Amino acid sequence: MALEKGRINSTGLIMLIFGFAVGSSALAPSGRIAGADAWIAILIGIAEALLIAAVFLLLTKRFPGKTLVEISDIVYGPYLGKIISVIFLWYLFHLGSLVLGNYTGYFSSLFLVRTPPIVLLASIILICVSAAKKGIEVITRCGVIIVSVGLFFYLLTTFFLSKYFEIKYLQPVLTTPAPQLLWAAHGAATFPLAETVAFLMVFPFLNNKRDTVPATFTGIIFTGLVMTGVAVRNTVVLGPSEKAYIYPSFHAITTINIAEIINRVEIVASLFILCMGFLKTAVLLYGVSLGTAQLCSLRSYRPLVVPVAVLMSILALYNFPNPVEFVRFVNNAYPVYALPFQLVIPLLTLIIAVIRKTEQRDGNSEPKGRRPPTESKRR
Amino acid sequence: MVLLLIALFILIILLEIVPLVKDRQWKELAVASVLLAAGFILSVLIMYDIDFPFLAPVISNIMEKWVALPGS
Repeated sequence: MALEKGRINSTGLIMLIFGFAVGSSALAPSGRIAGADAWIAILIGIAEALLIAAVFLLLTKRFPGKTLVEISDIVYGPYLGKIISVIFLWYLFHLGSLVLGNYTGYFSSLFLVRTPPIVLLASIILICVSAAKKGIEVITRCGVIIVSVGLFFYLLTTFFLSKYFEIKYLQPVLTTPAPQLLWAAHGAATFPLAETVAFLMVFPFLNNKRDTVPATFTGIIFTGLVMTGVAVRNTVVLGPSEKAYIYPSFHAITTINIAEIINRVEIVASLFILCMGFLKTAVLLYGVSLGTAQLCSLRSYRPLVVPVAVLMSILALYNFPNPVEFVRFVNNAYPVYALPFQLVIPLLTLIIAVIRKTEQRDGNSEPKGRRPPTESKRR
Repeated sequence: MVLLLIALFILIILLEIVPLVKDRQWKELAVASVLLAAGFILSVLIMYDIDFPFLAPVISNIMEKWVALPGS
């Protein structure tokens, strides 16, 4: 019995990947440790992220119509497969709590200073619960609307900011030492581009399975290019002081003042950033609930959405004590911490599937490696 | 605050758990109850000011100790 009946198209997937990846990187832009060379780091990061994506896309191509939890069960067997699935689901769960904590920190430190963080957290998670319960189709539809309007607004703010651009802030180019630049590039790849590994829980619900690879690559490249644009914009507006800000995009947008009429645009920009965060949290909440339901062989994932959301909210409160600690975590620890989940698990699963010749080309047929013994004898 | 928390969890039980009992979805009921109970216990502990360590600094410290990171 299928746990999810909704279906999404490739355009929806591209939009969802964009909203998902831009979600938290809009708050803490990637590649910042490279300073003015951040845009170069992000461009290198796109290449690395595409390589990481190629691994999990090969895996999903080998097992069309299966989530990572089901793939692990087929490749590793029922016991080890469950352990691998739990490790992967932990990553989605932790990532969801990080996003939630990040947004709560953003709003409670810049806008709603006197509001208790738990109230902000509850407001965000309630909407995510509602979306996750409705299914992936509804989340994707929300994504198409949010991303379309958000992109238009991004272009509009960049246009308004163009009069403050100081191209000299980008020069001299490539002054960052190579190890630091490559580390920044790796940081940009793991946060947020390769986080699209979470879509291993979503790919099975794509209308046309052949669109999975082009749609994912398009989504990652598109996101990377927009992130590069944001990095350039922040650098040419804020200059070297950009590194001092925790939320440079917010501070870049606050400078907009067109004839004393168009100003305080940051409120609207933050609303769009929040909407992207909603998309990311909703996808992760959906992924964890669906994965847990598949892990426990349940008939529906919906009863698990609220309990998982409660636990995610609690962890969100205990991730980092302040936004500075979040920046430290993203710059120093996350590029190493995320790698086993983003690359090692899919790569290991793919290698073992290739060695054991386990595959499932057709979504409705049994995997080749698990044919009933009678059929093998007949052959 | 504790009363508010209990009220919140009663609301969740009424909306999420009771329909599972009505539909006789015992497996779903068991998993959802375990997760919800874990959430409730953790919430109560937080209410009573039990200090849990923050996760991100712990991971950052471990990573910085193990790996020579160019960013740190």
